[in-house]
Amino acid sequence: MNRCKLLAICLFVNLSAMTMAQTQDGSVLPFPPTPLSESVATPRLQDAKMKWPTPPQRLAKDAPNILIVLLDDVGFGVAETFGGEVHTPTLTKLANEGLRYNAFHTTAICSPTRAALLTGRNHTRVGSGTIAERAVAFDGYTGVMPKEAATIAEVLRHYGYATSAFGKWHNTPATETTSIGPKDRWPNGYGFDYFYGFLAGETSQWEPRLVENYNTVEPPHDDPKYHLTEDMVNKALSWIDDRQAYAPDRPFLMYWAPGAAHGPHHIFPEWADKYKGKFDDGWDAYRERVHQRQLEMGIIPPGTKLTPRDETMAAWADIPENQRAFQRRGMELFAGFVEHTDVQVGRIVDGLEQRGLRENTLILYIVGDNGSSSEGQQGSISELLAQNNIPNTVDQQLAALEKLGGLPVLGSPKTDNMYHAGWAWAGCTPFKSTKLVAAHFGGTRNPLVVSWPKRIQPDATMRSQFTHCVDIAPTIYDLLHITPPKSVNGHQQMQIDGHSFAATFGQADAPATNTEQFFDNNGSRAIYKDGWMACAFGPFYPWNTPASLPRLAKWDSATDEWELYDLKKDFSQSNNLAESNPAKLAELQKEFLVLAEDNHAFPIGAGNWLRLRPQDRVSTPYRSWTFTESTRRMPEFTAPGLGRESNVVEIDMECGADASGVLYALGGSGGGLTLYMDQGRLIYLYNMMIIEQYEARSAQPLTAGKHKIVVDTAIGGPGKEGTAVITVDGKEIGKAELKRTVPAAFTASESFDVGVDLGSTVAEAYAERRPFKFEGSIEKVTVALK
Amino acid sequence: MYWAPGASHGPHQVMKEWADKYKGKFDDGWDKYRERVFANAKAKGWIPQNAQLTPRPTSMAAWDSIPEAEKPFQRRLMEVFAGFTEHADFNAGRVIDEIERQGKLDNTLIFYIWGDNGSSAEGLYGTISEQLSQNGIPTQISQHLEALEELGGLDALGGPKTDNMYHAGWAWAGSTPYKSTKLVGAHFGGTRQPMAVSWPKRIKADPTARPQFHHVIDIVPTIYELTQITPPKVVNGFQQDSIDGVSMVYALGDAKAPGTRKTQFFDIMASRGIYHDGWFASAPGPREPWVGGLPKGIKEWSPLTDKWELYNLEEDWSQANDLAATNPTKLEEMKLLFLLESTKNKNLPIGGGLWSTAMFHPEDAPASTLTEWTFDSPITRMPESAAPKLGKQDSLVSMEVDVPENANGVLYALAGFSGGITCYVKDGFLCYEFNLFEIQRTKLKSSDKLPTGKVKIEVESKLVGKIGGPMDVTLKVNGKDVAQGRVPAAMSLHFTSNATFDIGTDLDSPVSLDYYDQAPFTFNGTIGTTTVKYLKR
Repeated sequence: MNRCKLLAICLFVNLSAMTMAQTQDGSVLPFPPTPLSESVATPRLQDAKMKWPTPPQRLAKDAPNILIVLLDDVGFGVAETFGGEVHTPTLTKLANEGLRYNAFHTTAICSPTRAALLTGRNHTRVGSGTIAERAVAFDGYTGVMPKEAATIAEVLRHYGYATSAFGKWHNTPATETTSIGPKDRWPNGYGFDYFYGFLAGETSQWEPRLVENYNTVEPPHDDPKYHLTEDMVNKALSWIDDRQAYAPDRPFLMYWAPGAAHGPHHIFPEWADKYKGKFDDGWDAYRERVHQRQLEMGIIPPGTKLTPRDETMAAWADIPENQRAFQRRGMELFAGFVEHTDVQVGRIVDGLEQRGLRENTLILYIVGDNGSSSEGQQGSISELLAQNNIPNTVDQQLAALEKLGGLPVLGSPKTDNMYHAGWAWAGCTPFKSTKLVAAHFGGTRNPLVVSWPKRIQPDATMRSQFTHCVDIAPTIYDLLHITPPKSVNGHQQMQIDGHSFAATFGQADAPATNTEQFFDNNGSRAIYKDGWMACAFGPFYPWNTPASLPRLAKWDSATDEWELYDLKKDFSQSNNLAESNPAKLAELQKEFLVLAEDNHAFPIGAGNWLRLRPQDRVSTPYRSWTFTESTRRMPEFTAPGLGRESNVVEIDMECGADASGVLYALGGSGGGLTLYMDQGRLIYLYNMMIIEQYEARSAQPLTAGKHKIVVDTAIGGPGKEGTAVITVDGKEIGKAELKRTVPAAFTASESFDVGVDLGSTVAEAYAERRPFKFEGSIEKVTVALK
Repeated sequence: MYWAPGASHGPHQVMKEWADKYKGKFDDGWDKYRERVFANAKAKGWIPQNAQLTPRPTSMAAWDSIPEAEKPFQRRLMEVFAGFTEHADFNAGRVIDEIERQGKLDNTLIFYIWGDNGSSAEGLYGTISEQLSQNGIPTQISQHLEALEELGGLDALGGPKTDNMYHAGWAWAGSTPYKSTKLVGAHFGGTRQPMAVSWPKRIKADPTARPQFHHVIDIVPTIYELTQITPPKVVNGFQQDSIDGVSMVYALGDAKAPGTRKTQFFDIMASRGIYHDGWFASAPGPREPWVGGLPKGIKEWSPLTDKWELYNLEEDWSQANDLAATNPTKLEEMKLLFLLESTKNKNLPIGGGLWSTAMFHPEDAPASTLTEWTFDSPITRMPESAAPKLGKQDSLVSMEVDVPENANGVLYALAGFSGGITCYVKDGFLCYEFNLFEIQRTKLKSSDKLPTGKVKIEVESKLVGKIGGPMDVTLKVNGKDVAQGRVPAAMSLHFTSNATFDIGTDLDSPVSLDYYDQAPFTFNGTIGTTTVKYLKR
């Protein structure tokens, strides 16, 4: 063969390879592949040259590790580091070795804060105007984080970072959380190489529904010392070790977001017992003490007023004596839960120290994704009572609790307890309101501590620049000299809303960069601009759901009442200037609408849509299902609503004599329903949020052999009464009268399981035998909604 | 669903009862096997009546030349492979049965592709530890038989204690009626696989074989056509390359439809072929996969002077009749076409797959770029490919260990039973074993028991000469030598493809027989930081 002809062929190849677009500035991610420019591919090996290119260094040699800690539902006045009454040694240590921020803000609610933090965009701009489960079809509220807003993890990964996320996620569309996905909107699809945690908004700390990357995994079923927050530390440290073993030259980004201290407040009694008696005089006194301490410590500016209790919230003095022990224990549990969490953060920090990594690790410790949560209403042993808007009294709850074992049972797997809203409001001292209120700092202002020994000099001077969770991503880009990409994986990127506050690291009085910020949660809204804040409380009282509904039905955002504060003189929004400065208010109201439109927040209050129109809830498109024994951990949100609408369940099974175990179960100890066998007897139980139990049970044991069991449930409408009729081989064996039913969901993160009851157990009867796997075999379970 | 079992790649591992189904069925060896299978295939119409059975290459042993004493070993290896393969087919059937039970089989399109290449000759002369040949370590069958005896004899083959693979003669028999085996791109013994397609709802069952020339790259376009998907031009921002395959849909309903594929190039480590309009030109390349060691003259080998063959597939199904000498014009045309296709497909240099092998540049083989590791806490399941190459390089392992009374358990272990290194404590004594692919085990043991409490343990390994040669190993406790020994031959590539490095335990198959029954033999003390570094030579 002619050598010239060969050469021509080779040249043709090289030229065609070079026409590829080349961008090295990071404006288009991923970066282009590094060309094999030093290799020469001739036909003969002997003439060829082979050299791998040096991988381009996209980061500075000393690029830091980054650890973002984000607690859940912990307000401004909880941690002792910021004047509260919960011992937080890790937060204090990091603050002493770094910086404190007292004007850092969140969105007042979970998923939106997380979406804003991860993307650097306002929550509504990234489809996260409300939590995933309440998604509605308006651009700002779809519950889908668009790939047009790449997360910091996605961007940093392209630059060479190893990335991981632990704990609560809550940014995946709720209908996409089953084991069949689709999974491109699970954490790994948003740039995290590794994920260990849960996709829902909350979970049992004892029996969590866990996901590791793309798969559900089971926590141990027989370890009485298990607690999810501790497990998250173990997994985080192992991941750090793996990185050390496999890629010690790559810095890491870790997003560590425990379920603590969201409800249910699950904690070992010894942690709660540390606070025994400390809160005996109630929430009003707590606020006064903490306010005083915050002034003394310089956490809040001199002269900051303590805001008064809203008239719709109970005074401690109003709490009947017989309920006080219950209410106090609720707060002791919360306090123990928070301290336990902070100590676990300390184990990570110690782990970094032991590995010599702490010096060059930037730690951002954000105390709460919003203020403390008043969703426990009057105090609850089953927190979803309120979300389902089921009327109940504290005395009813106390009676149910007594059956389970009384106060010592609170915090255990048998309850989904949450404290009285008064404690949440106390946890937000000195501010008004709580979580879910974006108008007031009780919902949106959270402590932030930043530590990075290598680059940040410890400085006790409080950083008071107005900052927001959308500013975290731009700050990190700024520190790493990363230009935010214009395109990522083919998706044109949206503008970034946040601003870097890196300058505050070295300069206490650096000018604020975030000069205008929009807030909105469920119509509770605000605009911050150059030291002013205008806000509207909105239609919803988080601490009193039943009273909010009529108010919501009448509500019109156009005629809402607004407040106006001069934050330069009024740190706690205590002095409403709406009447004295109507011109300023009008200007800000107008500006708010411009921002709201730009941020896809219209219609204002869309997060409340489902409260008035529950039938519009996003749900699976299915009306019938066929399950087998491999159906495990089907998230309740995606499962058939067996407890809320009429349906027929048919089971083809086979058992031996005196068989025991669960045939199917939906939900958990806080509420749910289960069909199980106990020594041959067939039992149906509807656990109405602990406070009521409806049961049907066969008089005779089932004979050994094959059976067809049918559970026919008729429910009159959402929350209405109903019946569940159980037949075996065509013969009725029992009927449960459902005096009232749960209209929305028993739980936020429990599951539907066949042949076993994973997570917490629906029936207390088999709690000690959990997960109470069925001893026989189940061929199939079919479910049809009527 | 893409369901791709490890079966029937080596190691050939299956329950004994599956292998026993084939007891005695292969007693007369691979040459007879080919004759039987050739006759069967013809009788059933899977190959044309004029197809010929190709002869055995001279470099491959005839069954008759296998010593009588080794024949039971060789037969059993084929029985294990056959059982392993039937077992895999049976399990594919379980998946299909479940689809049927759910009532979904009617509308399920199944492609059942019988092999990602021909049967594999990489077991060379039959082996109990297949990575021996990948590491280029020459052995005698008698060595295998001796080591096997210790593990329980022929019945141990297929079990967890061996990584067995059969004689290349069986692989060649498995590729009947064609020439060669896996790794040969020039002959259909490497590249032609049976495929069954089923889709009850849309495809009418038809026993007539589809003889149209097609290739594995045609599966994707076939699926796109059936699902009416236009191949995308951009995916996640990436401009898509053109698709080389063509749809096979036209032949699903018409056995006699003329083939639509005109051209296809083949190349695996310089064994290459080009198909065009019924013609096939082949260059078998510099190596025969069934021959161990470096091919003769490999350094001087050139694709430009390679010997080519030419076949007219229209009348010669099995590449039995080489027309290179009688039709040189056609051959030149085909060779040029091969080079054009190679260029177009980024296939240069020819034989690029040989680059980092022992034949050319083993120093360029992919490896971790690290030369030092710090494990702050015991790591497990570190893939061997990412782990320190303790069996190949000079290294020092240093561990902080808190030794309890009656200490027992593994301190660290690299790879598995078919080959690896382990350092462990047995009844208080510090032990070390270099397991060279089961055929040679070098063991060290401290003369005294370890002290209890905090102890520094070091293992220093130094090659005497070249990679793959002898290696001196010294065990130290608190800085003092406690055992020394020489590994007669270290390894040069890797112990396993898929086993791991573990600290404090020996996961997957255990390296040493000494704690086989106690595996994973987790250490009962505490291990602090472990460091590993390569020593400068």
